[in-house]
Amino acid sequence: MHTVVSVALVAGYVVGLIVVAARARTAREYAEFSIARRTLPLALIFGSLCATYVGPAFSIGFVGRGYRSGFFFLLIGLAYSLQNVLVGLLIAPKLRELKDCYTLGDAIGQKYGPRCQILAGLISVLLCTLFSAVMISAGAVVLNDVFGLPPRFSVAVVAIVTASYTAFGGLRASVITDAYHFALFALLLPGVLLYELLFHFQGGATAFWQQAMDATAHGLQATPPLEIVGFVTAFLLGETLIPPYANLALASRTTVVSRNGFILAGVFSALWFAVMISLGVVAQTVVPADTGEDYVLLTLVKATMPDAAYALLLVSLVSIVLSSLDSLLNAGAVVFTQDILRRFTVRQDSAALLAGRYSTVMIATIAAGMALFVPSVIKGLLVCYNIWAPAILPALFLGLWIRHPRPLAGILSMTVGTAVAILLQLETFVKTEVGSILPALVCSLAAYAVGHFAHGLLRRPNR
Amino acid sequence: MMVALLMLVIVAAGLVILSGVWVAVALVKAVWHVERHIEGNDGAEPGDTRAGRQ
Repeated sequence: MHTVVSVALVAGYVVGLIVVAARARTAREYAEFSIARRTLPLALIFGSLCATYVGPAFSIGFVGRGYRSGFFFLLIGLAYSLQNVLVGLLIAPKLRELKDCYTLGDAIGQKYGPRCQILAGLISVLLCTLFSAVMISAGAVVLNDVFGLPPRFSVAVVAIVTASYTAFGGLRASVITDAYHFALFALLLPGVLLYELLFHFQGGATAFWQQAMDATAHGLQATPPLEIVGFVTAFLLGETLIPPYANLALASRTTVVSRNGFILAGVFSALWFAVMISLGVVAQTVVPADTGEDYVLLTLVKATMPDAAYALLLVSLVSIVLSSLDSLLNAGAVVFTQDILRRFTVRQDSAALLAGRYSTVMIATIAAGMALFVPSVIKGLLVCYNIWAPAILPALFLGLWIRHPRPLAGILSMTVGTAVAILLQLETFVKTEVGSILPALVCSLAAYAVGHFAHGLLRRPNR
Repeated sequence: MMVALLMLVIVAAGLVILSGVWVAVALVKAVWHVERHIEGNDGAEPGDTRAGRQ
């Protein structure tokens, strides 16, 4: 009986996904594929942003962190919330104001010229492919652990399912399926927490306080200050305006929607982290001490809830992965088409739409191949975070706020930021506990300043 | 203080659930009114800046 209910729930999820993806319909124009014709309302922008950033690390990972170190990691997670609010206040509306802008590379191109757009496009495609590989790997781990499917087959299933609806429906299909995934896990995981608190947790508010404080104190003592600085920096800067978020800022119906979407997503992240960490605190009395951090949530639900609830949890975990992956694939494809292919060829919209579809499949294929070699989800994400912020953010932020940004400054900042971030992650170089973001960011800013003044000096004799 | 922490956590869980409901309602509207969106009849509020609209 339990098995029948579980199978029915999983089948219901799959049917729901197919219906939603089919109703999102095939994109007929390039503007629809890339920026959903800028018609997305606040609720969908908010849902898609949250569904994209809530991946395995912000769900399973945070429950594990709450289990080991209580609310200590909430303080670090708040840096991420702050980042979203700041992007909403300072960058997203400015991006949305730009005309004929489909990608972050377009924005950089409008400020610094076509060479910078191509460079930004190359960096964005590289990062989207790396992020996608990490997400495919995470999805494959879930399928492998739960259903016992072979790793290669699991990778293929995750990549093919996501690429199929993203390639045809474009951004609109990605956003609508994101909303489906978001609604599912935003109802289920807090539901699990409330169920545990009401029916299983012994000792009430006093026991909860005691367990939370003990674990938090342990977390604070066990983490060196420099490592805390590294975590806060990674959460504050690592995922700032990565291509899927930038595309959502550009696809918002209005500048107000763009701003409010990011601010609300920032507030939501704080609430979400609190819920995930509380699940970890509650799990301390149920889950054995030698359980790996990534298995705390699964073990908790398996031990305390009916089989059907366990099946639902697995479904929501798959949702969490797919919702991040589809946004990354679409963003990567749009960036590749807009910032690289359209600079040289593919001028017509119909050709660009076709190129976007093929690019989705190409990125999914490459990412699936790379997914087999991803060492761990967290490590993979940290590599991406460490490269993105120094490579793009200084040029983007200064370009949007300086009156006359200079092309040499943009090129130098992106090149130096990327090179230093990659070099600092290689084993042969000295690794610091604060990670490579801060040093690479300083180098990127310095290169920007040099490029800015050098460009001015080089142009002066011509005036 | 002890009760306040638990209450905060419960309120946070409630707000996350409400966000899920809000997005689910928007999803249903979007899925059942696809054609309206495609024609660009999106009904934005007066005063909003429609900058850069394609």
